[in-house]
Amino acid sequence: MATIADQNTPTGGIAIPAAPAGTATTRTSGVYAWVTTVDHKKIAIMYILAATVFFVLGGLEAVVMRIQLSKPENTLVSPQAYNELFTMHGTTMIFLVVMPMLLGFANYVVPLQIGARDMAFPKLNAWSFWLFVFGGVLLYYSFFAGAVPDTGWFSYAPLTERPFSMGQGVDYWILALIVTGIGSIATGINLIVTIAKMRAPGMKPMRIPVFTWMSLITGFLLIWAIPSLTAAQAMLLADRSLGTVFFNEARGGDPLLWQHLFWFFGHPEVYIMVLPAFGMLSEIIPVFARKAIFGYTFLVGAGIAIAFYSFLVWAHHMFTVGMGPWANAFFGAASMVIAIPTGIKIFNWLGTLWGGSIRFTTAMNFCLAFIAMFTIGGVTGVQFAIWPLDWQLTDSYYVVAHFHYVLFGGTFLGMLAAFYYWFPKATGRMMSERLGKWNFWTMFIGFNVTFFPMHILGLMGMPRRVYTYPDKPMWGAINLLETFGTFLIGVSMLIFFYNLWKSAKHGEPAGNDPWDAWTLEWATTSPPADYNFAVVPQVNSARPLRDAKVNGWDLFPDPHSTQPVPKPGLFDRIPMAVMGMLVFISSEVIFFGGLIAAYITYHGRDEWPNHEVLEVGKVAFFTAFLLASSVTLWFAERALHHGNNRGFRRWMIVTIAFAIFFIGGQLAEYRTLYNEDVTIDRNLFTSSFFTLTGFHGLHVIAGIIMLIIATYLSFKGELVKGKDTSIRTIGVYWHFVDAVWIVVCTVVYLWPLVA
Amino acid sequence: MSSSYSTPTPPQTPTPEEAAAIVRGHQAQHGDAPQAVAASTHDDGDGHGDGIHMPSPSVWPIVSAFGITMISFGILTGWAFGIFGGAVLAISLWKWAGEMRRDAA
Repeated sequence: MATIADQNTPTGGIAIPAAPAGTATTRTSGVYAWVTTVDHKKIAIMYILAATVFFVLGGLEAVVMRIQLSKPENTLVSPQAYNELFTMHGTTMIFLVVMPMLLGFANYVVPLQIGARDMAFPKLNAWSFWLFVFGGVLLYYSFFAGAVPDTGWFSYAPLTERPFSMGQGVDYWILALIVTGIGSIATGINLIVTIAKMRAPGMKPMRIPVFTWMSLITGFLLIWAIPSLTAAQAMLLADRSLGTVFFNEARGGDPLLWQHLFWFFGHPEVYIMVLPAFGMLSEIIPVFARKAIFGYTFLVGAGIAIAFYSFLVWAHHMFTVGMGPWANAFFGAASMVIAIPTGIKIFNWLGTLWGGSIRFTTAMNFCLAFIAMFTIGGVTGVQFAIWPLDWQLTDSYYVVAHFHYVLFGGTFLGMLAAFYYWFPKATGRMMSERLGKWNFWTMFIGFNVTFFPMHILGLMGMPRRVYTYPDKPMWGAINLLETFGTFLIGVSMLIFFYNLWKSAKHGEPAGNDPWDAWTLEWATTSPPADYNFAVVPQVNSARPLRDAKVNGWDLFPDPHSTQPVPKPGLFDRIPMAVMGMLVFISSEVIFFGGLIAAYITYHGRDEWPNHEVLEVGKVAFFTAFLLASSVTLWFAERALHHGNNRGFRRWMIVTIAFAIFFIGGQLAEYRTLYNEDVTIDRNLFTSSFFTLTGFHGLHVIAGIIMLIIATYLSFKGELVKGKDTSIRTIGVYWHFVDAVWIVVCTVVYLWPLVA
Repeated sequence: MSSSYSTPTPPQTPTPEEAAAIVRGHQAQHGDAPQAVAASTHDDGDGHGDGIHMPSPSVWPIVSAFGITMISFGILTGWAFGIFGGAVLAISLWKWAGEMRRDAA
């Protein structure tokens, strides 16, 4: 077998197979090549670069805020400008920096770590990336439109309602985040399907690298958390644009519903931003401690437990609204419980370090700093689970200190470690360790000088989100110190950027495996070829490259070999597209759950119009057609399965006709209601009724379009037995849309009858 | 389920059904399964493919993302942008689907 010479492996170099003749290579340079690329590695690099640009913008916003706060009663920026700065800083750092940068690293590393040649849906991957970029551009276009969001990154109602925020800033915030959110959900789907279906032979669940495990869990958090925000944003946009009253307190709406829906997203979002960083540490620390990760099973299990609990703790952000002792007790206890799996991970890393032969590289330094800083952030986080303490400290600088120790001292330092660790793989060159040490120490000192004093200021009572402060004892001095720390962070980042630029151009050649590591990304060239691996690797443990280097395991068996291969994975029999649709549907469940929750919350609050205006008999009639369409579609799929193309088309046409009849019935119902002056902006009932049934109707219309395309393909002879994945995928979607209608119908039409 | 972090276990010979799934897994990544498996299910010659063919670049993901963004921009500024965005989205999805059909053919 032809091989590419291993360039520079410290120990036990392995032979890397070359691609067979006839392998096509794609253009790698030029703007058009990058814009149209579907290669996960190039998309990942673009993710990281774009997130870096937004980091600079968000960082500059922070610098202006710190200059404003460097002395008491400063007037450098106006209160309005300060509101815009902290809103854009928070929104940028969370949605346009941390999330996309982590997804960028996941994009680069996950397919390589599992021995795959790309993500499951490469074009969807590119789509996700561009949605993130355009969403970010849309958010920042608000500066040019003179309508900068100014209501904080969690945009509480009723401040965000039209009477209190007359400009379009909130609308920019909503729509930009919906655009990026769609992309993030698509990335979540892609990660899940990729990891479920494209692992190298032999990579059983307990052999998956920890970073990939954490990316998988993050994928689930993305698809289950973001739809709650999207549903809330859809309602808020309807309030502001269509006159609905979901969060309009003056007309009976409940601003707390926004808080519940937002934080149902918001707390898992914290773990979306932390779990991949946990994964990064779990890859880097073992390599530089020269020990296998301590307690792999517990580490993975703790990640799953954290994800589970993250959906049960959202209301600890809401202790001050007065939920009552039982709710406080539940969410306080749950928030303390979630600290346990997080603590397990800290001990996993400490256990790995214990007795290890530690190499203090820059990447390792950042990991060690992460452990210390994140632990401080975690401890202050648990303090907020004690709600009387929360009542005192919330909305003070103590909170600001807490979450910066989690997201900056934790996640951001973890990402810097990841830069130093995986940069050689992506570029083929080493980053400068000398500059790296300068980068590390200025960052470590600058970070602590900036954020540690915030604990003290918070305890002294300084509120967050206020553009200036009175000249109280020590407040000015501490704030000035923090501003100095911010500039030190800025210097550190300049060193980092210089290191990136210089190392990319003049860095030492890295070779394939510069760290003598153990996972599959190091078992290919640096940078990897388009296809990652010429031969699909075969895995025999959780450290496959170590097996190859130390135990002589044949990582790349020749296709001619008669060596037995491991058994296939659990999901090998489910087509990728079908699995992708199933994952998407699970995300949709949360979206509709949010809308249904709003309907149930507001049920029975209105005198008129209310559910009594609905004509259940007519609805039952056109509902029967929708339900029948699921049956006819099943007949169509069955016909295709038996090779009966004409039968397939006949049943498809019947299905489409039934679906159109349902939509026609729904439109007729809307028309009748509007003729009776029952419009969407009348009250809580009409707001929630039209929004819920309207979104369902849009899903039906999307399904009808898909059914028509499938029928067209059948007439063209492209949808036949054996090539029927598309109709199976559409079928899953259609049955789901029907199932949602059964729930909607039950809640909206049948429940009042029974009640 | 136990961790196999430091205790590699030898692979076992798959059943014919499992072998078929392994071949599908390799083909999904444009690769050939080892002959030990491929021969037990399907062998179309020498076991070598005609090279690795990765998905071709596409302009339609960026165009359709732009279309969605323009729809959002239309909600903010005026329906003309929204209609333009909708048209861009529809055309790009149609073209994207066409690419998928060609890839599948």
